[in-house]
Amino acid sequence: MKPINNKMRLWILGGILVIISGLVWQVHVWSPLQDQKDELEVELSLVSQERDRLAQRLERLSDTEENHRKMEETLAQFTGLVVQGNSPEEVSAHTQLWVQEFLENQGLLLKAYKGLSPSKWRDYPLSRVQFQLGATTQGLSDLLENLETMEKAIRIEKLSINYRRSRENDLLVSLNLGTLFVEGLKE
Amino acid sequence: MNLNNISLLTKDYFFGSPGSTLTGRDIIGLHLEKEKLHYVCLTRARGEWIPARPDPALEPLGSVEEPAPWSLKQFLEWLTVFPLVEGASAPRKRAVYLTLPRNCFSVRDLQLPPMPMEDALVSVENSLPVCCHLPIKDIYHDIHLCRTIQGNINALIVYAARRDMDEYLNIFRETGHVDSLRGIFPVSFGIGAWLNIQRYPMPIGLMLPQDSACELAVFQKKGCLFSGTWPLSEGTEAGDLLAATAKSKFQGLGENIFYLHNGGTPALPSPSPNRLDQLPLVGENPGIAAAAPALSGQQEISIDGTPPRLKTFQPVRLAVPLVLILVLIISLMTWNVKWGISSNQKEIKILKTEIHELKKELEPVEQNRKTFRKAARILEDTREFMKTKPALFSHINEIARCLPEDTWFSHFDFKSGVMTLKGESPDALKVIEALRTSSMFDQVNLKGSVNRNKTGAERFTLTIKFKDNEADK
Repeated sequence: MKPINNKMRLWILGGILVIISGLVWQVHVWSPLQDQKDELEVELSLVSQERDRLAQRLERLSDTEENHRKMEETLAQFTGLVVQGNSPEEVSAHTQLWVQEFLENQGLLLKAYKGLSPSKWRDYPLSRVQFQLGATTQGLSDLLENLETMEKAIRIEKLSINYRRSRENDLLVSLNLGTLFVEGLKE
Repeated sequence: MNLNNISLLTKDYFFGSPGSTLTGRDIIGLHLEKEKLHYVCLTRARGEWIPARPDPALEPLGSVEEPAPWSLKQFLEWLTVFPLVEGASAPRKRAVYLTLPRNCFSVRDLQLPPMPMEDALVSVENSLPVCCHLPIKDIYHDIHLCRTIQGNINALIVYAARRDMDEYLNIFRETGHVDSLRGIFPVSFGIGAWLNIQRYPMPIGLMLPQDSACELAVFQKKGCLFSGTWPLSEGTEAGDLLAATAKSKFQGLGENIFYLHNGGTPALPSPSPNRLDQLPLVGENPGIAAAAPALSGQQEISIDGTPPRLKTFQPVRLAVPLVLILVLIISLMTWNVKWGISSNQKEIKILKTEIHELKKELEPVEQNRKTFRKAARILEDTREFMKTKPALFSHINEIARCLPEDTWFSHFDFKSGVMTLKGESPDALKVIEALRTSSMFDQVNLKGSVNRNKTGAERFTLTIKFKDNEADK
């Protein structure tokens, strides 16, 4: 075998040095940098998608003037139907006030009233108020008609009518009204 | 530094002779005549070769008027002595070229078919014993190879007796300049290189009277093709004969043969333009001819016992540029990926800021939407609740409409969709039947017993069930 001379040895050593330097660069510099770049590219892609998604969503939700109008209408209808109040008791008070006002206007005699413990309709609390009143047939008819036709979430839970002979108000009426209470009405 | 110089430097690096390159060295060209030594000292400045003093006491160009070889010895001693003078700057590395008259050498020419230059060199070396008129052991030789336009190789074997050359080499050794000596060769080879630098139309023939002989040399761009001599005593007829031979041998030579000295006609015209305008013409100072092969990049020959130096591609010299290119590529790749990372980071930062802004903008919109949905759901539920309202007014009116005459109720009770009524009628069953005709009621039933009072009317209790309300379920 031909012996390796000094010059050849120098070249081989130089070549090995270059290769080792290249490998060290590859392992310690290039690969970590490339990995970091790849990770950043993935993150960039995700962040970009997230940005696009949010932008599209904002565009979809913001540009609907009709939605806004519908929302306003819904809220108006909702406000019109529901008796205002922050608690079932407050709703009961409002209901009672409305009934009292109506009775006074119709010349009916409210003898007694009291709040009952709330019951439930579906998942909503139903505040209840009981009224004892004396009424004429016409007065009671007006009251019932009004309760039937009014656009409020108030319904008759219980009604008891007894006839008695008297000069006025020959009907003794016991009326239980249930009013739907909706939480978060302020929102 | 112009492109031509860069090209020459690159060529010198990759195709130069073995050993150190000319880069960073001054060139001293010496032409030794019988009674005079011409010298030229050149240094590279701003990419050009310009005259420079070889030491503080010597002019850049000049001559030493002494008989050979004392003139050479004296000049080389000056180069040795003056740098030692106190205050003188350290001398730069030098490359010394020495030309001698043609009659100091013998030249044999050979024609070879197209082949690699290395093979041609080996082939010519093998034919040396046949071609040379002196024993090989008694001569120094070099081989000048030149590829012709047709692709053939023109080889000139230049040789001289060892004892003659050793005289000059010993002077270089004694004065300590033997390491700087890069060539001893006939002056005509240098003149050919000078003609090439000055871009004379090639091929060109030149009559060169030197001492007692005259030389006819034919040159082309890549070097000397032919060199023949005859004694001056034989007159011009011998020269004419040689010229006729050269014309027939080298196509394109034609009448392109000139005299350099002695007033012969036609005389070599001055170069126009002079591309070495800072240097003397070869007729003024033949020392420039000694330096010319190094300046022109032609093959350098030296009749000093060193092996022929063929200008071949030196793959070993690729190593440094390759390593540099590799380092450059690695640096560029690293810079590129770092730039990419930096760019991505900036972009991500910008996008995250945008996302944050969008989220802030979207938050109230989302809240509104949520509220809207909730409100819509509650509204729907409220409407459902409204449907559960018992229409007592309508039902009572319906009862009144259906009842037969003389029927009245004293007690009415409503609870959970069921009405309970107590009353009187002449015929309780008729009341039941009448009420059952109504589509508003689901079930109409008598409850308990029916009693007849004194007037004959029947007292009864009945229950009326409303039709089921789906919303109530």
